[in-house]
Amino acid sequence: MLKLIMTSSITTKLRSLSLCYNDISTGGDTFIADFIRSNSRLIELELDANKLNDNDATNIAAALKDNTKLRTLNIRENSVTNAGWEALGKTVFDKTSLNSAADSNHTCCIDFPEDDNEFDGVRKINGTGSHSNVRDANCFNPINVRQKKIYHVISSRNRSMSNVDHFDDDMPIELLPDMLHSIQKYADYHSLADNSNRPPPPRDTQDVKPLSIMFEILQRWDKSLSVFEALSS
Amino acid sequence: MSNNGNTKKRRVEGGARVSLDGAGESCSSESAELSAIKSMMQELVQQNRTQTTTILEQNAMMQIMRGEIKQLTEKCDAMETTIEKDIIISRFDEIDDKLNYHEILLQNQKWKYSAPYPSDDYWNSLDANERFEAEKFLTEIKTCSEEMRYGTGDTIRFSINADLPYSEVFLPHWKEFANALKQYRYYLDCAEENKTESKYDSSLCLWNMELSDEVLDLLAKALKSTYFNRLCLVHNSFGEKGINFALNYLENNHKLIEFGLVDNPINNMSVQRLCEIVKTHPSIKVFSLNHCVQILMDLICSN
Repeated sequence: MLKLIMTSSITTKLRSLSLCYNDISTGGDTFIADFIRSNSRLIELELDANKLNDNDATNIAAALKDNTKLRTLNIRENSVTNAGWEALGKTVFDKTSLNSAADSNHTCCIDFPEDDNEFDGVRKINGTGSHSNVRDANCFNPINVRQKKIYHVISSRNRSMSNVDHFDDDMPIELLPDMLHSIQKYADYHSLADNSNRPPPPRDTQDVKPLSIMFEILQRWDKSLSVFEALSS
Repeated sequence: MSNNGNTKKRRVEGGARVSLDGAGESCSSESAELSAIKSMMQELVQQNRTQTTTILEQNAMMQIMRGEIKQLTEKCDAMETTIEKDIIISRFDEIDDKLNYHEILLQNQKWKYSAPYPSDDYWNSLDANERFEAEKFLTEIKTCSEEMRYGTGDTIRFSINADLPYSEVFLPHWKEFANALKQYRYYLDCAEENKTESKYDSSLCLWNMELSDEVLDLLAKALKSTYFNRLCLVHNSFGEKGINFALNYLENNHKLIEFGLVDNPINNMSVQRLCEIVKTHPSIKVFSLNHCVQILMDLICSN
């Protein structure tokens, strides 16, 4: 049934599809993932309380990398275990490197299980799901989410003062001026209200202040400089 | 002397021969020049001819294009007239809808909700909880009918929610509700014409109460030309007839944005029909089919 509905929905203007409590199982078929990968206009997909498993969750996670339209995905009360949720969490925010964070899905808000603290960091990273509302959808900006994720990685590295160590592998030293500029920009973004008189978005409490990152880079300037010189020669 | 004379003569002849030879050379070069000029002239003439032909062809094309432009201009004028006519007709329809609506509002000033309150026998047959639900249903259906008739509702969202099995005593109330729905089409038409994005959002939700075949027939007739933006049917204990009613409304109402069929069992054939409708529906955006298949499975298992 779901396959039929999804196949029909790819070409329609459907924005929200809710098929909760229907005992839906895929039997290994990838039609849900294929549907998500098709990047149709759908912005809300609710599949709570069905019979989807880790395999489905992993397929969905892979498909979400190619999707920029879906804003809400609910698959709670299915047979998805921690492995499936982890795959989904990694799609929404892969903290392994700056590139993986930047390449994550920045549009889809997944309803992770609340009783599991492991997903606290990613639960609200793409928004709270309110932007799935057709009217609020225009206010949502994936670029801001992407910036937030990159900043989050830099911020967590700052706690162990390891940002400079990553100049060799993850972040080309040539981009250091751009990185410093972005950090400053991020600081401005959070301190100034925009023209719409809306309050500025709050900085994630887990993130360090931009000055702390500046301090780290300047404190370890010798290391930064040596990498830079090595590259120049 | 004679020799000299001969010599002179010869010289003269020679000289004449020489001068004649010179004249011959200049003549031949002149004729060569002339023939070159001639061939150049011929080329020029040929070029001129070609250019003339091209100009003539272009001229002919211009003439054709002018003709086409003239035709297009005439068509545009005709279309403009048609558009103006269409605008006038649609404006006239708008005014007509408003007039109809205000006329109905005027008529409805004398209208009173006339469905009878159920007898004591009915109330005595209910337990406390059922009584509460029945009271709630009667209040809600009356309020909705009056708001539709008098146009006093702040919103155009009608929701009746009562967990109640069907009873014959409710039929007159459903009739009142259906008649109000039938008239409400004029209000919805007017509201749509004057719509602002935030304000215009009409919905009809029927929660939890059982809808009998008679009620479904009444609603189907009433909603034939009354087009809400949203329809939500939740746990209505209707069979295939109810599903068909919902699907027919979805199929015929091209203004429907949201369609919800929750906790109402649906079979595979209806799902197939539903998909066909959704595929070609011009406006549907939100689609809920929660808790529909599992119930069907439960029903199959229990039988």
